Amino acid sequence: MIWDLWVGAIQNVMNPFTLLCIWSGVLLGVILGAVPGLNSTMGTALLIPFTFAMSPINGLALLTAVYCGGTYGGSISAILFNVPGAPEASATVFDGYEMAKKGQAAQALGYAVMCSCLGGLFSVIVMILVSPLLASVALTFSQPEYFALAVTALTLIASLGGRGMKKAAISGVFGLLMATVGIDPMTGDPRFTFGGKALIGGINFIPAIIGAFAVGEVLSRAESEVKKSEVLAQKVSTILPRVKDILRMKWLVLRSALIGTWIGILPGVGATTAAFVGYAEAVRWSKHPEKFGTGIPEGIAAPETANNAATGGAMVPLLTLGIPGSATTAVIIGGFLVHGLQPGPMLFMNQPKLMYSIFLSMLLANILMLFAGLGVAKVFSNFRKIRYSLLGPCIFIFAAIGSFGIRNDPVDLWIMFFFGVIGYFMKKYNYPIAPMIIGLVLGNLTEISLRRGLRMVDYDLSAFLFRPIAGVILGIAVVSILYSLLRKKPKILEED
Amino acid sequence: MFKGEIITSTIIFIGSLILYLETLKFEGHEVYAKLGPSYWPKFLLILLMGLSVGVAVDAFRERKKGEGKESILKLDKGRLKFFIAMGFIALYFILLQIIGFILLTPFFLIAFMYLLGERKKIWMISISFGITLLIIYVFTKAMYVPLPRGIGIFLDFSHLFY
Repeated sequence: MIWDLWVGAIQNVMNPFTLLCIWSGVLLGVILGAVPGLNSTMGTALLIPFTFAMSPINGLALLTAVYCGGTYGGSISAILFNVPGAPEASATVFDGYEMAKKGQAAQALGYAVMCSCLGGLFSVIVMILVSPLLASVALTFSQPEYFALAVTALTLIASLGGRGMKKAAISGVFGLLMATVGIDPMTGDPRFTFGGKALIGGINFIPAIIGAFAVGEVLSRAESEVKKSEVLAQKVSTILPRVKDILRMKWLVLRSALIGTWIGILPGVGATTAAFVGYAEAVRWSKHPEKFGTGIPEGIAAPETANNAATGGAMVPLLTLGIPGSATTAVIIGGFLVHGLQPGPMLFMNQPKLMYSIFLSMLLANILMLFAGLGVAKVFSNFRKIRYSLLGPCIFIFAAIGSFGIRNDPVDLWIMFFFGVIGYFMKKYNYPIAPMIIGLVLGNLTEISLRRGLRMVDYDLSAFLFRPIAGVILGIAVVSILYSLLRKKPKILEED
Repeated sequence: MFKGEIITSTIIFIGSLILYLETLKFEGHEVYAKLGPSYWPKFLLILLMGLSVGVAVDAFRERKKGEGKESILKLDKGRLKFFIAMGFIALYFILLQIIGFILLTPFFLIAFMYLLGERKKIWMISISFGITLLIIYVFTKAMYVPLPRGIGIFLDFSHLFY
């Protein structure tokens, strides 16, 4: 029976037009991901009307390919220009750009594309094998479990701490505080809006990230006098890692893939959180945590494996329960609906061949991503040959439009500017930027899951510990904080 | 760095205190949730105040070891350039809503390139106008991002392109 389904899927997918759809989807996704301000969510949304004229399998293959490619693409500009092209690549900046500064951009790009491919393939295989089971476990996650998950991710601040722990904590708490700006999701009260409307929608973390990294960098360069002859680097061609290099970090890749797939399955937490948690765990488990942030391949492999693993993970609740696991999969639901298909358990029963065709097309998309990544990275790397006095202002304009394009709101430009200035001063006085971004990304999840969770257990925080899953996760968080405090301090928090 | 550390810690402490006073205005909707809208921000702000005191104490300890005595108030050429760059960016964001993206951006780019030390006019002009047109094409035509068009006569001009 299952073989019949696979044979049917191969017949569906292995024809020139479907393969062309997958290839163009991946290529488009990588390009969209690499340009700040454009992302796979936007790309899939814009492509849905075009898929109307296609068969369901071609349309869905195109959309899922854009999704896979877009999640990887952000790492290209993160590595080359210190600007995450997509939020999923935010954690890749920490080590990616540092490697590029050391003249190892080609290797960094190679690790990014290879690990994205491996992460994506792993999650698709998991999706094929155990999607119904995983989805049912994920459904048992309630607010205390989400809170425990957020706390565990926040312990990254501690695991990256050490001597500069207080400054790292200030940075992280500041990020958490910034996440509270805007309407309180539980009571509807405006917070820190100072009577105006500008901040009522809250602080979007993408302009904040772009500001803290890209604008902060441009401002620093303005101060430090750009040399006329300065060229960032020579032409870069992606150098794929050797098999033995990947085998050397096999446990890191496997762990990140598992984390990414699992986080992808949880509704509401997507590839960005997966990348940060993947990075945090890589630091925690490393024998040399102090090297993270200085530009090491492990610092790229972990977030890139995790964020692409989240793509397959996020498809699990979509295909099995009809619940999107991320923003892009929510848009992909539209791709099903335009063809009169309702994703969910019934679709598995009524159209199993279509489901297996989607599995197969995602497998192919992740393999083709390797080639699309090599090509797009080569084109983007040419920009590094340009003098910074010419390139810097162009990066700034792309950063500004990238921030503006998220909500088409000029307020985001000012948020980017604010975080750019904050980022500049943080860098100057050795306040690490990474914890602030982690706080900002996880702030909403942490607060809401805590407040809702406490209401569920009649405001008794200790009740969280007696819930099996939440208790175990919180226990791991506490142990890991204590463990981290005894370890060496990573470079990322010293000079980030 | 000592003075800088003390100044940043003081700014963080005072800023947190001001925001804490702001949270007192959030009270009143605990009927919907026992832990009201001010619960979490208050917790974070108290934490920030405590940590900023900790950083200041650390700075004093470092000072005893004789570390860092530089002045942070000196306005050298680099710092002046930093403030000019900040001014450029702020002015660009203000004027963007009035003049619009297409007319303002090339001139902003040229000015910023000059500030960063670029002097080759051909490159400055061609890249500035090229990037502006590329962004307009990609973002407005292909991706339907409504870039700022400005007001009045600038709005009419922008409409010619996007």
